Amino acid sequence: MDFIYLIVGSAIILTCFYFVVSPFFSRNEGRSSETDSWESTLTLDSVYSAVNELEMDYLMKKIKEKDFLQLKEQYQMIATELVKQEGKPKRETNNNVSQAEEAELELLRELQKLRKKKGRSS
Amino acid sequence: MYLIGNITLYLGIVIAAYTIIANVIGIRKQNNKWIESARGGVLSLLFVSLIASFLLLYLLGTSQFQFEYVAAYTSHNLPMVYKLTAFWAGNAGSLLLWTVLLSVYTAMLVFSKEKQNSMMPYVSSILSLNILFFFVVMILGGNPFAMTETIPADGKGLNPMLQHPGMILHPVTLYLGYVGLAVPFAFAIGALILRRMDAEWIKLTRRWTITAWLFLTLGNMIGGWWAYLELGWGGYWAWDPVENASFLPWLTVSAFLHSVMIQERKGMLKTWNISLVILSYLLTLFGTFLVRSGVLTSVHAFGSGPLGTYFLIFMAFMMLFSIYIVISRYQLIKKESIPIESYFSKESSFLLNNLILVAGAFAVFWGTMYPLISESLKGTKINVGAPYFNSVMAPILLLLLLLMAVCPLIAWQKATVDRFLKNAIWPFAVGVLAAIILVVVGVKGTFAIIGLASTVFMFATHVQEFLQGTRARMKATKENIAKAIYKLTRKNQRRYGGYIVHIGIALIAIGVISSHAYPEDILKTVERGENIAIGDYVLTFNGLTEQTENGNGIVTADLKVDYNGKNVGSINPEKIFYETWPEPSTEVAIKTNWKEDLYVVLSSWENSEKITLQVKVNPFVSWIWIGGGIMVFGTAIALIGGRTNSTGLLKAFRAGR
Repeated sequence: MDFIYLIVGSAIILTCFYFVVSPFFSRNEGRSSETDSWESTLTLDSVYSAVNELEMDYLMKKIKEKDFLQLKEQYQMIATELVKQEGKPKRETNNNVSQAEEAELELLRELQKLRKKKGRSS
Repeated sequence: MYLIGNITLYLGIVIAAYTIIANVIGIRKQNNKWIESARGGVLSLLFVSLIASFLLLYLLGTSQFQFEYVAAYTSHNLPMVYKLTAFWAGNAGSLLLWTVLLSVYTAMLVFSKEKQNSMMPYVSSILSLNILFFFVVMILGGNPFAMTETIPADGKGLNPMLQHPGMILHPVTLYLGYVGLAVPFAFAIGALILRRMDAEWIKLTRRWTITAWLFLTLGNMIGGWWAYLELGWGGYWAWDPVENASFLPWLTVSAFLHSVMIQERKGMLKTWNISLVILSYLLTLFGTFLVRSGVLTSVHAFGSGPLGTYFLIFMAFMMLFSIYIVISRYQLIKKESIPIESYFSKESSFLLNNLILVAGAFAVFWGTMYPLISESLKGTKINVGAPYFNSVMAPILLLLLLLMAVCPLIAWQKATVDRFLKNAIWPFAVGVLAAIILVVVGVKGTFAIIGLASTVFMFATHVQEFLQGTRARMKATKENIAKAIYKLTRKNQRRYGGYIVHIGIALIAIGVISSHAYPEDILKTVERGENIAIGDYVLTFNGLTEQTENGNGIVTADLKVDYNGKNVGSINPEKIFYETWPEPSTEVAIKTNWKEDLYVVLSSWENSEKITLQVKVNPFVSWIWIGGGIMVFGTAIALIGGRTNSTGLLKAFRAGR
């Protein structure tokens, strides 16, 4: 009986040894430890959700209309800039429409698209 | 068996030490193979701790009394479920439970989709250090696989009070909470070492922290329910040192879960959040130290021994290590932290909530440690007991209820006093109306009335939040009411899950305040056919019976119960004389309706015709358990669908984009 326990004990040790040692014999180099994949990224999505939250606060009468409009405008400016950045190469080829106008249109299109896709959020 | 069990423990020490070293080498040499090998080490730790656990379960289930632990906590006639739950009935088994849970958590982390994150080797090292400590402690003072010198014919059996369904859930849920707090701690320290002061570590640990908090809540609730049913004194919370030890991290993590939102949205309170996470983790070690040191008298304590000293040393080491890391990065944290700008804002209200929660934690800590403090200063151990805790914690909890009533009414951006007051009028009026009704119907006790009215105020605030949110959504989207409520919650699960948790707390508060302020209690000796009248109840004693079941003697009193003059059946309090235990165990009989519990304890008897009963009517106790269930439900909602807010928006705002 002791013999069986000895075999089982050895198997446990060998399994652990395998887990620890196998990476050194693996051909797969694996990805090197990634560093800063996470950033405090600003996306149109996050602007959109912030605007929605603001709108809900306004509709729930937690903020004044004046503050709501002012903040909404600020968010729209951020969104405009985001859209501008995203669409920069495309716009360089089109000289007929002013950049600001195009950005506005694109912003509206993007927001419309997101609204359709996600529904309104609180 | 002995050989395999001990191989797993010693192997655990070697592998945990190796995992730390491999991680350090991998970090220093920037060599992924070493990091991968350390990951293999974590897998091995999971492997050996699982083998050790299944082995112990097998030994317990098959009554292998040649093992000390099995002989000390089980016996032949113990039902199988309690043989298995004896796993965590003693010191050695509970240490193994810690170890296996910690190994599971660590493996989940290092094999998660975030495994390539540069913080992970640090996290893995810190968690492996904890695992190493537990394996070492098991070898030094709590080996579950130690053998007896002579094999006893039967084991000592399990304490009858532990033979209860609470034993299956309470320790495991609490341990899941305790162990879970090591994860945010490890991430916070990892982020500090890497000098990454952004909110990434918070984002990565949000679900872990909420899960740990959920389990701590569940553990405390189940513990209270178990004590209420099993201990026979009619209460659910005794301010026992070990109960307090599990309440302390609950308070600090509650504070953290709120303040973390401020860091995510506004980049404020960075030092505070890191301090709270470190404190919460240290408090879990403190709780474990209390249970194992025997320095304080507690129904939960495993008794005195050297284990307490080991925990004290480890706690001191981790504390000094954390303090060093925080101090060495303090300027960086401070530089990147944004101060609170407005006194009337969401962030200042959250900070106030945090200060109150931490003050509560300090008051509980002080009361818990006072016997030790008084002994070291005056030479005599002075226990402060429940009166101290009730008088100190009652105003603190009242303040928290009031804050929960007002905080949701404050907007995240551009909060103004006049808007807040407009929104607060209705909930406040409902609270005042509740106070007036209570006074009119003859309810006594100023503090209890204030507490109940504040709870109603808080409840009304949350109802208003749901109603206004639904109305706003209906107005904006033309959805029907059911869809609007569903979508409102679904689209911001974190906020509305939190609100549901608050509603659960409101129910608990009503239960706690009412059962403390308005209990009825009677101790009376009756003969067969005699009555006991209490509240709306009349109990008639019909006789005492004795029987034997599984070798245990059971004495049962039969009582007819009338409620408001109407027969509502019978109630049967018991005393059980266990074969393997010197003292009899009390089995409380409870009849519950929506507003009160009839709670009957068979105290003693002269013969089968004459008994002494302790009868209580505890108002609204069932609301505590319902409130606990609602809290768990709300936490689950916040946990499943919540997402972190982008600090990028804040940066853009601040940059004036």
